[in-house]
Amino acid sequence: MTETPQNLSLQNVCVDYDNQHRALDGLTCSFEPGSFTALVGPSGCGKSTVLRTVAGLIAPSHGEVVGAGDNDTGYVFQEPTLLAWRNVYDNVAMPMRFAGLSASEIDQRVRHALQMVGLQERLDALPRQLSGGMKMRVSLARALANRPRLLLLDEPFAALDEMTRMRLDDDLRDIWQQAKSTVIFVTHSITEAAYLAERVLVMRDDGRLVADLSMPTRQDNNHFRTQASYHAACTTISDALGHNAHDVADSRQTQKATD
Amino acid sequence: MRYLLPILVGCLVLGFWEFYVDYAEIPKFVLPAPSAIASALANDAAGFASATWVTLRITGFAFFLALVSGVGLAIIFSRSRAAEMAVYPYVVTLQVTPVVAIAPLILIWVGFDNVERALVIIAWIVTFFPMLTNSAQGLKSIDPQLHDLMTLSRANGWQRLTTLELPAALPSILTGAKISGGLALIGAVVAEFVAGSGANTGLAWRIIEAGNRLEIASMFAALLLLSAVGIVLFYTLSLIEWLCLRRWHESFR
Ligand SMILES: Nc1ncnc2c1ncn2[C@@H]1O[C@H](COP(=O)(O)OP(=O)(O)O)[C@@H](O)[C@H]1O
Ligand SMILES: [Mg+2]
Repeated sequence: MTETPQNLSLQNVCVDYDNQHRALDGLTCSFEPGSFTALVGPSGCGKSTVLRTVAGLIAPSHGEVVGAGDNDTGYVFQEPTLLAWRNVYDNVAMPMRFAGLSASEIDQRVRHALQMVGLQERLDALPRQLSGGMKMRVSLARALANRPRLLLLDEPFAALDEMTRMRLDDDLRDIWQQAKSTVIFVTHSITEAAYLAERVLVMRDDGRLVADLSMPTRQDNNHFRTQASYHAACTTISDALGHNAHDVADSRQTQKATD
Repeated sequence: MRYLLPILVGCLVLGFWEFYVDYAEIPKFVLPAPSAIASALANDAAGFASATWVTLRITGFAFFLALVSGVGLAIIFSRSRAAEMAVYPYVVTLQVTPVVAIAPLILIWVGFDNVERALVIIAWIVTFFPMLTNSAQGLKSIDPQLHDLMTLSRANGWQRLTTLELPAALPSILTGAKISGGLALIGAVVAEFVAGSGANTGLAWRIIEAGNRLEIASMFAALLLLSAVGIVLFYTLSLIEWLCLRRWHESFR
């Protein structure tokens, strides 16, 4: 692969909270345009910190983030993070209004984004009238509406029930294939990472990357969850996560996985 | 039932009061009958109306000033920790110093050429603090992720304020406003008491005046009007709260 200047990459990124607590420790990785990467790791290992750094919400203490688009990053939080006093339409339109797009352009994009997440009928609903899954869809639509080149999702479906989550996972993959944005998807679920991503980055507790795994290319979307390659992928990720539990110092293993 | 029951109780109490004052021959400078109070009110309707207007005006101005300054200062505090650290101790000082003790000073400074302005300032001191603390509380408890969302959406300061901060803090601001509304009236009455001059003739001054002349019926009449002002104020603010929040806020589910 060639490194175009547009490639998003992290170069030896360190983040210290309160000038002492090291949350990220020398992270180096790059993301190809249009790729779908999952970032997995135990709770508190610094996954959100990675996304917040990429999005520019935190400045790294060392190292740098290169090629993060200025105006075209979509961010989906773990909670829907909607304005409770605004309806679905206004919530999705809000970032584009700030960006100064024309009303007709906004209208078209809002409707299109809500169509992608299947909420085109609920434009006037207030967040409190929607279920958890629907609110998450609005949040996703808001991130998609501005047609971001980079889409960052921080455990977006973790708070939802299993059935809703699986449906949203499928929808997200479809949307990604249409929108062709670069996706970084944070999750603590091994199965979700294996199901969604082309590539899985595994983090461990001390804020370092331990593995960079490519996932099998899938032939049949509908039955992927029953295929051997999916289960193999789950095992690989789980191994990469498990190593840090009792074999933290084994960096050779890590090297191999990173290849 | 919600309206009928209190009205019924009121009528019973008034009836008993009227009957008992007459029956026990209580002198009217101790406890006047409801009918006497009503006629005192009717005999000087114009006077009472203008007194009510004066008190209402002082209360209203003080409340409005408190609203603007309380919310304004809360916004400044939320934007600048340094400003909060620098100013907050003085705000607390102003709050804990009994207003009755500050009032003469304010009357001397401001009251010479404009008594009413001094009264508004005194009432404002009483009103301001809950407005500030409630607004500040509301602004501080906004979900930090919503702030992140604003940052990611490249909202400017004004957009952040109008799209996120003011609406999100509105429930707290309105709670502060309900407390402050009542306090503004108390502040106005205290201010009139302290000012104690004939230059202004609000309801509180009417109470003092009537007390001096042992016109207890007039005293009751003024008291009644003060309560009425307080009640109207409270329910107006509750109505505004309902209108603003009923569609989206949890408290109106
Ligand atoms: N604002 C903050 N201030 C101080 N420490 C923080 C802050 N945010 C996160 N941390 C700490 O940094 C570490 C990584 O946090 P985070 O990135 O949220 O992890 P994850 O998303 O993987 O659960 C944790 O130990 C957490 O306690
Ligand atoms: Mg997190």
